[in-house]
Order: sequence, then structure tokens, then C-alpha cells
Amino acid sequence: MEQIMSLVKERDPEQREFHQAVQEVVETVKPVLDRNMEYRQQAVLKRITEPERVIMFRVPWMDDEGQVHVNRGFRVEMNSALGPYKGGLRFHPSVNLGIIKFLAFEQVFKNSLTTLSMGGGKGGSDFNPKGRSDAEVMRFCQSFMAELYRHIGPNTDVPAGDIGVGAREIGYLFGMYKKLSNEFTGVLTGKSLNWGGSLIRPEATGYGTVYFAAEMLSTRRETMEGKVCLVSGSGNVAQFTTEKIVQMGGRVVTLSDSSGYIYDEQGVDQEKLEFVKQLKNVRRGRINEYVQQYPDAVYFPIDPALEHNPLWAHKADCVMPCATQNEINKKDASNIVEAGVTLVSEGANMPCTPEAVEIMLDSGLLYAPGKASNAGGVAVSGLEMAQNSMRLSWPREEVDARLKQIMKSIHKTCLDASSEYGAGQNYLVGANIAGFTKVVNAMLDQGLV
Amino acid sequence: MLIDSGRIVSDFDPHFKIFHELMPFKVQEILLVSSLYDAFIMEEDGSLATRLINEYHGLNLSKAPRITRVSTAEEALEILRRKPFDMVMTMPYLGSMDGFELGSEIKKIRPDIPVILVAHNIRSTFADKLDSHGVDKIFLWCCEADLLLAIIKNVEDHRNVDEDISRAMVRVIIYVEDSPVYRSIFLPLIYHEVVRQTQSVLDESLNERHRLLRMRARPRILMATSYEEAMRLYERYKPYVFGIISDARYRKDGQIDAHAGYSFLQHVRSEIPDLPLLMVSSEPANKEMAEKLPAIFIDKNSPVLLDEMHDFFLNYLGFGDFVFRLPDETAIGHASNLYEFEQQLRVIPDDSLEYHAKRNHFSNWVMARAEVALARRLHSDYISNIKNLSDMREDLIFKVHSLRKLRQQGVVVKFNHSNYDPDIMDFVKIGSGSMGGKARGLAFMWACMQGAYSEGSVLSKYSVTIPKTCVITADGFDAFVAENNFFYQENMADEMVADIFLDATLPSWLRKELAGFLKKCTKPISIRSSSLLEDAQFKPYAGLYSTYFLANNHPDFRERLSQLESAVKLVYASTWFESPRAFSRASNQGMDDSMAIIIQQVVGSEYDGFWYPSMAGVAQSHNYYPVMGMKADEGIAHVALGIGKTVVEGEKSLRFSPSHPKRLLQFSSVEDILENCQRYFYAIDMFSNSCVQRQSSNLVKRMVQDAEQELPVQMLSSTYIADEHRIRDANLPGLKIMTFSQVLKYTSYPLAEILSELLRLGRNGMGCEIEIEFAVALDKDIEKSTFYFLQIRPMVTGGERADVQICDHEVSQSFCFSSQSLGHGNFNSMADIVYVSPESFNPAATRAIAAEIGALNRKLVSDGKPYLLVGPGRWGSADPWLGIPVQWSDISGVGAMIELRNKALRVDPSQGSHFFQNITSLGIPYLTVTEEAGEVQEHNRENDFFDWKWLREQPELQQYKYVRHVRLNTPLVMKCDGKKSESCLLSGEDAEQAACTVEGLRIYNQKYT
Repeated sequence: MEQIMSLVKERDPEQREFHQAVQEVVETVKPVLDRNMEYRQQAVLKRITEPERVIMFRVPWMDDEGQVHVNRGFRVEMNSALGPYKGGLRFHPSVNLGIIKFLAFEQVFKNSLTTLSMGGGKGGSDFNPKGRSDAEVMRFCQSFMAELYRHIGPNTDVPAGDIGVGAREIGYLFGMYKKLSNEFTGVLTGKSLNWGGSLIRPEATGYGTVYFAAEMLSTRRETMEGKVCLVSGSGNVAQFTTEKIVQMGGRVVTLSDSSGYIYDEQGVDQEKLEFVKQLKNVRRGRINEYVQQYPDAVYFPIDPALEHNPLWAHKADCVMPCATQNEINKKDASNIVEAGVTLVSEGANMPCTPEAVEIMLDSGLLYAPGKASNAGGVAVSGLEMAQNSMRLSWPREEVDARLKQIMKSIHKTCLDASSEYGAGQNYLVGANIAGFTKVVNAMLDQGLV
Repeated sequence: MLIDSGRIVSDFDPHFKIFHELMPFKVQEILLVSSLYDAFIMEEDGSLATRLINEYHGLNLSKAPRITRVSTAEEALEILRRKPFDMVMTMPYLGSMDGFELGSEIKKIRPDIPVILVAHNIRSTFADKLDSHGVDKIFLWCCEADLLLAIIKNVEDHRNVDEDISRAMVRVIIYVEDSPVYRSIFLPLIYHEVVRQTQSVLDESLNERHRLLRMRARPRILMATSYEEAMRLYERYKPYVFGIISDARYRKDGQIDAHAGYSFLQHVRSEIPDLPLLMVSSEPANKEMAEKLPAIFIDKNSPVLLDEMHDFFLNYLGFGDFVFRLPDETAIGHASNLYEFEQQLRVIPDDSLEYHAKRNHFSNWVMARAEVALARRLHSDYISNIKNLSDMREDLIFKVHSLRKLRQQGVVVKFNHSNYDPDIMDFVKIGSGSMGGKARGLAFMWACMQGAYSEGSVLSKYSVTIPKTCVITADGFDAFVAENNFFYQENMADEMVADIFLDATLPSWLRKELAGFLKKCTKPISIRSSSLLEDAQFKPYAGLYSTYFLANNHPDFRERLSQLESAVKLVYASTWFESPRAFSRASNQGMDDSMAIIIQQVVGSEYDGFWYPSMAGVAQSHNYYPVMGMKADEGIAHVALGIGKTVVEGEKSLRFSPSHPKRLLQFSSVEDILENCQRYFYAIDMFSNSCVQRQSSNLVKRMVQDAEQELPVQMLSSTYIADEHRIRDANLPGLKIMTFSQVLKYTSYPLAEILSELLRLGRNGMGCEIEIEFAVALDKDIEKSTFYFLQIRPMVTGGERADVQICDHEVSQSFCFSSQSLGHGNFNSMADIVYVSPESFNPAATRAIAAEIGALNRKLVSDGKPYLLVGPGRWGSADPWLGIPVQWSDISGVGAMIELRNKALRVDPSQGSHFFQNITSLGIPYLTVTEEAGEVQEHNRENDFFDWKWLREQPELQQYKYVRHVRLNTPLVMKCDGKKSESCLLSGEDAEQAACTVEGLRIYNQKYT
């Protein structure tokens, strides 16, 4: 283990982010390596930490004033054992090779966990789209694709969006790819609906979180029906998490924003949810307006003096943190445990601090880490690839049904891996191991390439 | 520096520019050659020069000429060789030579200089020497100053006539007279009449300065003494001849001819049938001949000569009322000014219209009013080809109306309810006192804009103007306070002041004028302050006084008037409110503020029962947060849908640089747009017109989504497509997002260009950085859209209460200096510093650092203590490896931020871009300190620095694992010079001691309040 870390650091001493990512993976998969001598013998860690291909290129472009700029473009094709490289493009001034490599490395395991045929990669540029005009962004995207197009393809590498790359940039990139390669294929995901994009993208993360939770409950022969849920946040993920819980018969009693939270014992039904959508998406108002509309609910403003969030102290069956990172700390976790919660399914990225996770796992409640429970977004990207390959556009219901199926598979994969390694129903261990072993096994199957 | 006042005036008055350019030659230096005896006679009644000066002042003419007197011909010739003169007046007898010989000698030296011979008696006029080349004109003079003035004006007229005709087609009156005696009587009389009549008929809506200017377009008097000379003048100036006054008997073919006058006038009549002709003769028999021509006849010896001359000017040269007649000469209407003229044109019968048009009466009458261009456009040559009388009527009305409107642009006219015409009078004032800062600024800028219209700039391509404006000058407030016996008492609550003012009565003259104004103003109006202190240069009173908006559509006029009066009283009351008084005290503004009021028609249209402009906003000529290639002097603008209260009060609006309207930092990503776009706007509820609400300025706040079917939202919004998580710049089904793309991105309307131009004009005009408020009424047909300029003031925002200058001495005393800072002003409310300890900083622990800062922030916010935040890398970075990934809620109480670039985190500066919306709207300084040179020993401008040693010594309040919190004994002093993008921070103690000299000015670092 130490050897591999020294090797990684020696090779690329500047890539601190990458070092840390490797360190984390190595630590989590230690039991796997300990148990499988073949992995050691075949030097899977050495192989998996070295990208299959790194492309770095010049991206010259001209701004609206006629001034020439030169940015640096990257594509790290990390691992294709499970399928074509798949991973986002990031346009941000912070981008450098180390960061892209680190992101590509993490992407390999994320994609592996979705159970779809997707390898891992990442790309981007140190271009800063902030304050740039549409024309400048277009010129940059075209120049970027003028090089990248020869390295990607629907069966080779399928980039998606990431920070700084949204539907607009995907459109410009796709247009240039199409012109240069003279073919209309699903070479990028995140496209607009009328030319190859997929439905259910906004809903995917929230719905997926609930589907995963439902699967967890099913292991205890329970369903969402009648379950009291604490949901934090009131943005996209929280809204669709609530929507799916309501559809599955559960009762969401809390929602929050940065000013405080509401507690509605009657539950947020579809009508109330529509009010929240209007409030947050259209009016951009504060969540306390909810209690003006529904006086039976209670509003609790944030108390800066408190070291914990009282939202998590309410009695409930399920907890879906969908607001922000580190929103559940040690104290909150204790409150959750004390409140008799049986399940935590993370909708946000890393909403629980490591100490909180430890407390929850120790208590025996079902804890779904975000890398598994909020994989719905990545899954729909895979579904977009599938639709493009078939030249079909599935209706909303079909994409939703397939999303549900994928979340089911992820759950099973995590559970199987966890059980196999004697961790019981520890989804965190399961997710870490499953993501790793799927890739590694495929690599071994495909020989030393 | 010398200031050319004429140039300045003409720059402000482009409509009148032509008048500034008229009469370029002025007689300034006169050489008077007279024997001692003549001089004695002339000076008998007092100094000639004094009398001339008095005459000039009496006629309100500018600078009187200077007279230099010499006694002999030799002296005259000698001085003429040395000094420039514009005219020579000589007496007949000069000792060694007579006046004629002197004239000939003078012409040898200065061939162009007019030489005028003045004699005391008829014998000395030397009638037989009239053809002498040495003397231009001979007059008989008994020391009348008005003759001297007439001579001077006549010399000027002869010299200027060609140029003035080419510039302004000024008209000419030819006066033929060979007798020095009558010439000396008639010439002053004609000038007197021309000046008097022209003055009396100038449009009364002009202000005094413009009336004087317009006088320069009065008809020129050209004098001839013989038939040949008269013919020469006539032939040369035929198209511009306005009238002819002629003697009957004078030289023709070198001989005195009793019918020379008749022959001349007959010739003219044969060519111009409708030209006014006047024969003046001492022989009554000539009357019959004159009538044959036909011409008017005046007997030179008539006892009522003056009256008859006056009648001629009034009735035939068009200086009197226009009398509308039927073809049978029956009078059917009168017009004494252009307003009445236009009104009559609308109603007179066709045959009357045709009768006057064909005889060129319209053109002549207008010409007498010095409206040269209009006179030409109304000339029969131009209108006679319009066959249809109804078209002709429309054409005439249009031309007259256009001119009246044009004449009002850039001009503040005194309100008069009897002739107030809102259609053409954009800016009127009630009262005669001061208009206050805001109204003065508006009037100034409006005048400046007139000049810009003609430069082919964007201002001339699009409609750019001011809303209909009526100012109640400060004497209204003073009279209101005096008549109601108000005395300010300390500690009166604002509400009490408002109640007292509301219960009082406005002065009756003001009520009468307001009623007159309101009768003709039926659209929504705003009533706002224009105090004498507010908006004055460097006195940032802006926003301290109240503004009210009225729907102004109540069916009962009395109710409308009552609401207007209430609003005026409420704005008056705000003069005595606590906040302006407190500000006045704080800025040592000893005097009490008086108040003028601006009543303006609210820009916009009615949409579904609500009245609002498509866009409104504020633009500043200096950008204190210039990022992404923007330059500070390119300025910055904020725009919002609806009434400008959204922008003025700092609600969500769109910020852009007028030079880079497509670079929208706050709209960089879909998330940014959704977060930062405007959701609400202000409008006037047209159905809520029953009373004046004191709150919210009588406005309602509406959601953008509720107005998605209304034209402005449809024209200015984009649509969020949730399924694709993208924003399309089109009006599609879905959430409407105020992006202003059509205007800023696709330039369907050149808002940015107009703002750039106005900022340039305003900055040049006021000589300082400025801030303007504007509103735009967009039309479906974009060409018909109108940009309205609402106000201008010196730029003052947030903490920028004074010019900031940082001297070397201060830098040397500072504990921090940054050469790359954003923001402007002096800040001294921070005693707390929260910083990431360089010793314990770990790039892998930035999330934990963010959590520590969040906890500290919560505490400091609840204590109400703003703090300085210092740390490595980009604040708010999405990437935890490049800085501390705080959210805004983690640092919401921050007073200033410093991002450090050093070995620990060597990243490109973010310049606060993650929190751009927050730091710009709150005016938070954001400093980048580059410490790459390591610990700097010497504090100077060479390198950025942060004195860690000093900071470590400060009293610690809390030490977390990564973050340290210190509290200083006295607040630190932060100086940000937004113009140079540099900032320094001093401890409170050091700042008090530091004093230095910058560009010759002594700068003291006193505590800033």
C-alpha cells in the first residue's frame, strides 16, 4: 500500500489532489486487496492509478475584441474496462492535469457503481467562462473540439458536462464534432431534448435517492408507505426527493433553506410541494413563507448559537439530507439516532461529516452514502447514451422506470459486496468495494492491456 | 484659464447655435476725429462714450464700443497706422485737411475701414461731395446717442450681411435716402422699430437669454443713397429682401431724379408683387404715385411720422398679430404668437388658408419673428406645390408644431397655465426660485444632450429625451412654510411632521398653477424632491427624501389635484425628517435645506392595469469593480424591469458594463442566472387611485411571472427550460427569466451605447464622476422606443463619502497594502479580523477551515460586528484545493475580504468572482495581496504586503484549529482608492497619527464618519 502511494507521489509530486484520492481508495479497498492475491499479483493498483491515455492540447481562440487567448485542454481517459470512457468536461480556471486526473480516477468508480457499461474519464480546460459572451464561449468550444474530436466517439469516449459546461457548451461542442467527423452520433451527453437529450434529468438525483431508500427498506420488508421523512433543503434535489416520497406514500415533514426550516406534521403533499416549487424556483422566496401559506406548519429560523441543526432532532423514520455538504454533524447524527430513524439516504454530496457517518453506522441504522444513493444523475447520462445508440427517445415513464431499475441494481451491488466482505448491511463499504471490484475484475478479464 | 462664455453658451444651446454665429463683426473700437471745438460741442451734454454705454445697456446689448478721440488728421492717420479700429467718425473741419481728404488718406492705409462723416449743420454735409470715395456715409448729428448707435449697427449690418444670409438667411430691409438730414432722422427710427418689434413678437415661451440671442436674426438694414446703389443691393439680396423703404427723389444716372424712387419701387413690384414697399417723401404729391405701385406712403413732414412708421412695421412687415381673413378681407381670427397661429391654422376655412398661403403672408409673418427656417418652409415656393388644401393645412400645422417643439428642447420655461402646451413644453417651472440640485442637473444634462443630437451619435438616431417635467421652485416650499407658520422643533417624529404638513394648505398661487398643470397632464406622475443641498456637487443627499407616484387617473379632477397636493406636501415634509437632518448635521451642513419639487410624467405604458417602464436603472461613469477586461472609466450600469426603485434600493437587477454589455459576470452560468435574475418589479396600480399611500411610494411590487404576457417581459426575458437545465433567449413556455438578452446580447435596442454616450457627456459636463438614472419605454416597433433621462448627480455610493487618496507615508504605516483591489472608500467600522493562520494552513483541510469560518461568522453576525477576512486562495472556490470553499452564508457578516497569493496557494486571483453579486451590491472591498516576494521588510508601493508579525501581536479572542480571531482595541482604517485599484489598511492608532501631503494637499487621517 505504502509502495503504491510512494510511487504515485514520486511520479507526479505536484498532483496533491490525485494523491489524496488514491489514498482514500487504497484505504477503503484494503480488505479486498488483502483477500485477493490475484489483484496484488496483477498489480491492479499500479494499473488503475495510471491513466490509459492522457491528452493535453493547445486551445487557441479569439475574444470579441480580437485578442488571441491560448488555454490548455485536457482529456484523461482513465479506464475503459467497463465501457467507453465516460465523464464530464470542466471549464474552470482552476483546471490542471492533476485535478482532471483526480476527477477521472473518482469517475471510474462512480460509473462502475451504476452497473452501466461506462468506463471513466474526465476532461476540461483552464478556460474561465465567467463573464464571457456567447460568441466567445462558442469560439472556445469549437477550438477545444477541433482537437478533442479525434480522440472521442460514441464507442470510445463520451464526455458530458461538468462545472462550466452546460447545455449551451454541449451544443457548441457537439456542433463542431458533427462538422469535423461528419456524423451525428451520441458522442456527448447532456444534449438538448430535441436533438438527443434525455428526459428525467432534473428529477434523476432526487428520484434515485428515494428509489435507493425504498430498496434499503425492502431488505427489512418495509416500504415507503406511511414513512415519516425528514428532508433538508428545498432546491431541485429536495423537491424531487419529496415528490417521489409523496408518490410512494411517505410523509415529508421538513424542508429547509439557509435561513431556517419548516416542520409540517401533516406532511408536504403534492399541492404543498407545488407551492414550494413556485416559492423557490419562481419567486426565489424564503422557506418561512410556507408557514404563511400553511399556518399549521411551524418555522424554525437558524439559531447561530446552536452547534447543531434542530431539524434532525424531529421524530421520523427516514432522513434524506438534500441541502449541502457537512450539514449533519456528530451532534445531529446522535439526534437522528435518538429520534429512532431507521434510514439515512444522502441526496446531497457528502452531507454527513465522517464522525456523523461513524455514529450512524455504529447505531445500526441503514446509511446510504451519496456515491450510491445519488448516482441517479450519472445513471441518466448512461441512459442518454443508450437512447442515442438505439436512435430512440424514451418517454418520461420509461426513463423513470429504467432509473428505478438502475438504483435497484446499485443497491444490490452494494449490498452484495458488503455481504461478501462481511460488512453486513454497510452500504458505505459495499459501495466502495463494489465500484472497485467491478472495474478490477473487468481489467483482469481483459488481460494486460 | 480663459473661458469663452459664448462658446459655453452655444455648446448648451444647439438650437440657438445659429444665432450665436450671427453678427460676427462687431464695432468695438471707434476713432473719433474732431477739432477741439467740435469736441467741446459734443461733450457739452456729457461724455459721448458714457451716453453710448447707457444706450447699449438700455437695449441690453453686450459690450459697448470704445471711443478714441484725436483732434487732428495727422494724429488720426498716425494712430490708425498703429492701432486697429473698426470705424472712423470724422468731423468736416479738421484744420489741415477736411473730412473728405482725411477719408481718402485713411482709405490708403485701411481701404476697408468705414469712414463716417458727421456734421453739426446741414451746410457742412457737402451734398455735392457725396460721391467721394473717402467717406462712406454722411450724417447730420446733434449728439443723439441713438443715431450713433444706429450708425454703428448699420456699419455692422453692411459688413455682416453676406455671412449672416449664408448662415441663417436673415432678411434685409433696403433703405434708400440721399439726404443726410432725413437719413439721420430715419435710420435711428427704423432701427428702433426693428428692434422693438422683433423683441415684442419673439415667442414668449423663450427665456430672456434666448430672446436676446434671437434678436441677432433681426432684419439687416442696408442703406443706399442712389438709384444705382439701391438696385445693386436689391439685385444682390433679392431673395432675402423683406421690405423696402425709399425716398422719392434721389440720384439716378448721376442726376437728381424726382421719380428715381418710383422707378426703383416699380421695378421691385414688377418682380415681387407681395413685397411690402414704403415710399417716404416730403412731397405729398408722390402719394398718388406710391398708391399706383402699390406702396405705402409716408410724408416725411407728417406730425405723426413715428406712428405711421410703426403701423407700417406692424401691419405690413408682419410684426403685428396675424389677422386671418377671408378672400373678401373679412377678418376671421387673430394670432399673436406661434401657439395661437397653430391653433388658428387648424380651424380657419380652406379659402382663408389658400388666400394667405398664396400671398406668402404666413412666411412673412413668421419671418418677422426671426424664425428664418420656418419662414422659408412656409414660403409659397415650398407650399404652393401642395394642391390639396387639407394636405397643405396638415403640412403647415406640422411645420409650425415641429418648430415650437424643437424650440423648447433643452429649455426650461416658466409655467403659465394660459399657454401651457404639454405637447411641446417638456420642462416647465412653477415659481421663480431655485430649482434644486436634481432639477438643475436634469436641466443641465438636457441642454448638453441637445448638442449631442447633431453629432451623428446614437442620441440622434434614437429618441432620447426627458419625461415631461414640471419643477416647483424652492420659493413654493418657503412660502408654504411661512404661510403656515411652521417652525422645526427637535425630536419631532417623521410621522408627526408628515401629519402636520398634510393638514396645512399650499400657497394659493401654487395651488392655482398646479391645477393648471394637472389639467393638461393625465398620465401617471412622480413627485420627488429636488432640494437645494441634495445632489449638489460632493453632497450625497441622494435618496434621503421621499418620492411618490400617482396613477393620476381618478375620474374626479378635484381628487387628482388633492392627491398631487398631498404628495407635494409629503415630499416637503421629508425635508424635516430625521435622516436628512442627521446627515446634514454629520456633514456639517449648517444651513437648513429648502426644497424644490420635480413633478414628472412616469415613463411607461399601461399593461393589464399596471403602469411601468420596460426598463429603468442607474449608470455610473466609474466602475469600482472592473474585472474581466473591463476598465474603471468605462462605467457600470444596473438595469431592471419596471420602475427604478428596484435598482435604487439595491434589489436584484442586472449589472453590466456599457462598453461590454455581453459580459455579464453575474449571468455566467445557468445557476448564476437563476440565482441572480430579477424576480419582482415595481409598478403603479392604475386601479388603486383613491388615495396616496405613504408606504412604498404608492407603488406595488409585482412578480415578473405575473406579467409574462405583458410586452416588456416578453421583449426582455428569456425562458428557463428545466428539462434541459438551460436558458433560451426566446419567449417559450416555461419560467420567464429577466436576462435583457434582446437588448444587451442582441442589441435590438442600443441601451449600452446610449448609456456610454450619456455617461461621457455627463462626466465632461459636470467635471466629475457622475451617476445617472434612466428609464426606457420600449415599443413593439423598436425604432419608436424612447430613452428617458431622469436625473444626474455626482457619483456617490456606499461608503464613498470622500475622495480617497493614499500617500506614501500611509503605505509605510500600513499593516497591509494591495495593488490589486476592488471597491472604493474609507472604512473604519471593523475592529475584528478573522484569518487563516499561515502556520496551520493545510490545503487539504479547506472544508474544515470553511466550517470554522462559518461558525465564527454566525457569532459575529449576531453581535453585529463586521470583520476583515484574510485567507489564502480564492474565497468561495468550488474547488477546495484552490481556496476556502465557503458559501456566502458562511461569511455573510464580512466587511472586507483579502485573498492571499503566496507559496501556500499560488492560484490566479479570483477578484471575488464567486461572490461578485454580494460584494458589489454591498460595496465590500475585495483585496488581492500577492506575497510571492515573501515577507516584505520595507513597506512601500513596490510590493504588496501583509504584516503577519503585527497581526500575531493583536489581542486574540479565539483560536480554532485553523482560524484565528483577533479584536483590535480601535477599529482599523481601510482606505480603498478605486481609481488606482490600490488599498491600504492601518491600525486605528497609526491612522490617527499619519498625515501627509498628496499632490500638494494635506491629507489627515482623521476618523471617518
